[in-house]
Amino acid sequence: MRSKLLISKIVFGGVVVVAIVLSISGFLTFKDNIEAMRRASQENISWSATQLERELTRFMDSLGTSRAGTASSTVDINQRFDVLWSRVAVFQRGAVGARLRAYDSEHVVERLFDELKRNEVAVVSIKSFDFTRMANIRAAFFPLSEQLNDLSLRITVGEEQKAAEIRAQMRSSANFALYASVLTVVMIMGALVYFVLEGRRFRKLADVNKALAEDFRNASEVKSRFLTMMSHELRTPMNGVLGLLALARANEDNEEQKDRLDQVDRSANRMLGMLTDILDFAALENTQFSPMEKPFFSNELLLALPELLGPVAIQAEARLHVAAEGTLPVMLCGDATRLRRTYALMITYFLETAGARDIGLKLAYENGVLQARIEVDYIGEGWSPDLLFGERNNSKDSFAVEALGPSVARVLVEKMGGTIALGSTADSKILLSVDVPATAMASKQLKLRLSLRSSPMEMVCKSSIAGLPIDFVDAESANQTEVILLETGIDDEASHVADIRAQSPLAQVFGIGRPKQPELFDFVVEMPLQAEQLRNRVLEVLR
Amino acid sequence: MNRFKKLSMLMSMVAATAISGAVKAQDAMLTVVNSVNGTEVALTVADVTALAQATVNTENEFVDAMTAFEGPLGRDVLALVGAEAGTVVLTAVNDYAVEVPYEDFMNYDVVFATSADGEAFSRRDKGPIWVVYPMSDHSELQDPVYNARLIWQLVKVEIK
Repeated sequence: MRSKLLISKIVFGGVVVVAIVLSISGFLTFKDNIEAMRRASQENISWSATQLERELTRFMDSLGTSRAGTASSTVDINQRFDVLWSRVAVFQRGAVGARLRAYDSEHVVERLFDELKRNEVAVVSIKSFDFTRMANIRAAFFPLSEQLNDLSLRITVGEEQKAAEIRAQMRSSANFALYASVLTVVMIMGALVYFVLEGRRFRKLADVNKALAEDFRNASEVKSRFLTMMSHELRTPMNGVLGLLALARANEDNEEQKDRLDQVDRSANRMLGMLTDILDFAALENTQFSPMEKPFFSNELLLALPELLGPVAIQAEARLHVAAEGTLPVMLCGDATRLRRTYALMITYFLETAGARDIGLKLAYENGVLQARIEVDYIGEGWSPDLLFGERNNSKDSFAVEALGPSVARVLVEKMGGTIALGSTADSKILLSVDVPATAMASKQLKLRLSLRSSPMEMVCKSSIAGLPIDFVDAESANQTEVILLETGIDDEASHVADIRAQSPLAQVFGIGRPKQPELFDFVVEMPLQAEQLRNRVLEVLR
Repeated sequence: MNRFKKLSMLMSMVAATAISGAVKAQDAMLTVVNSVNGTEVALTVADVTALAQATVNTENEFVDAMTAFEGPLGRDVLALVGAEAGTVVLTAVNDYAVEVPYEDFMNYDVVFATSADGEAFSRRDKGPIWVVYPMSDHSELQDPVYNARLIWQLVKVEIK
């Protein structure tokens, strides 16, 4: 699998590199072509060479016709001389001049220019019928005529060769660009086919992996169900053993036997605890697990922990104290059962593993988070609750029995969306911070008065708001009353409500039943009693 | 033809006739002929110098470096004979001639250069007039087609 992946990477890298090389080559070829086209578009110097040859001939002709006494004048001779001079000047400067000079290895043009300069005075001062001078001048330039003809021919042939070379180069470049493009297209097509085939293969592998994962999940669920069932099945007889042990201890007068029974009882309790941990662990492994959030009294949580862990602390000869810190709301919404279990597992872990001699749990609430601070004073130094941190290690080789409780605790915290942090106090105690989100339901006890005409009605109302932090008050506490549940349907309802409001000006008055004037009440709960409505409204007041 | 163009042509023809009448043939530096309307003007050195002078800084294949060419713009010279369209035939002193579209003079600042870098052309060096295109400013002009239009020793301009 890895080698296949490596091959894919190599193929992809190879295609990219070759494509880049071909692109660069194509670019350079294109650049060469542009340069060749630029050279091809240069001035045609053959024409300039021919013009020089032609003007020399015309100048010599002007000398010849004048001598013959026909049409040409000295003005014409001078004009031809100047034009010839200007043609020589073309050879002396510019890109055209440089290219022309490159062919003139015999310095014909240079010698022509020398001849022009040598004859300049003679030409300028020539008279109309000075045929001798004309003949002399003509004779001086005559040898150069043929040499210029050769130069023109050399230039023409040379330029033709260069043009042919440029054409050949452009043809070659075009062919190369074509081959490079075809090769690139073929490579890309090949790579595409390869990746399509690889993609299909990977999809098949993914399907196989998915099936394997499904099988594994099913096996895991079977395992979890088996563990759950087994631990449940084991706990039932263990409870029977514990019950019989308690009976045996109660009826045993022999101290030695009592000690032995105590030891058996401790072992049985420990085994029962482990079975509970296994049950929890199996449940947590089940992906269906989710916290069960409902309102609970923070005070109940504080009281439950010492009761639950007291025997373990006594056995470990350690002190355990639990307290609220700051403004802990009276009622919170969260998974109280799992919170209690989490704190219990952590404290048990410290008691049984760290050799703790003093453990303090402080509960506080801030910004929607229930903060538990567990301070542990333990014997020795350097110990760290590793099982609560770092990578979870559930491998079959290293999963120790003592890891079961901490593992359950940390997973519980994770499932509740909380975090665990480790620190130390100023006096070097271990400080474990466990933060779990929770909603504050009530910051204090609500003072509620029932003004109902029958005991059954009172019971119904009380059961609707059972579990809420409510302090039931009577008419004597009218000034402090916050909510009054008033049964409606009486004859003088308006005056009765007015009296109630006068007695308890701060209280909200909830009507129970069908009032004649609903607007007199802050809230009305119709009969038969809508328990959910009443409870929600009381919770709103509590918040 | 609108009224302004007619007036312009008339004024050009009047000016051309006035200049032409005062110039002897041997004094003419440049002869400009409009074969379409029959107008002809012969310009002396002084006449050419009197026209609005333009400078074109450019390179071409016949000079060694960037050169400042100075002289009247070709379209100003053509306007002297009321040219408005057609083909312009430029003829050198050796009777070499090239045909140039009239639009060249409208689209580009083609200058009838009488000097380069402040030095007047002699007949032995492309004088009296070298037709120069602003090749450095327009890459499309860097082409043999336009190289062939860089005619020197210009003596005659004819609009056909």
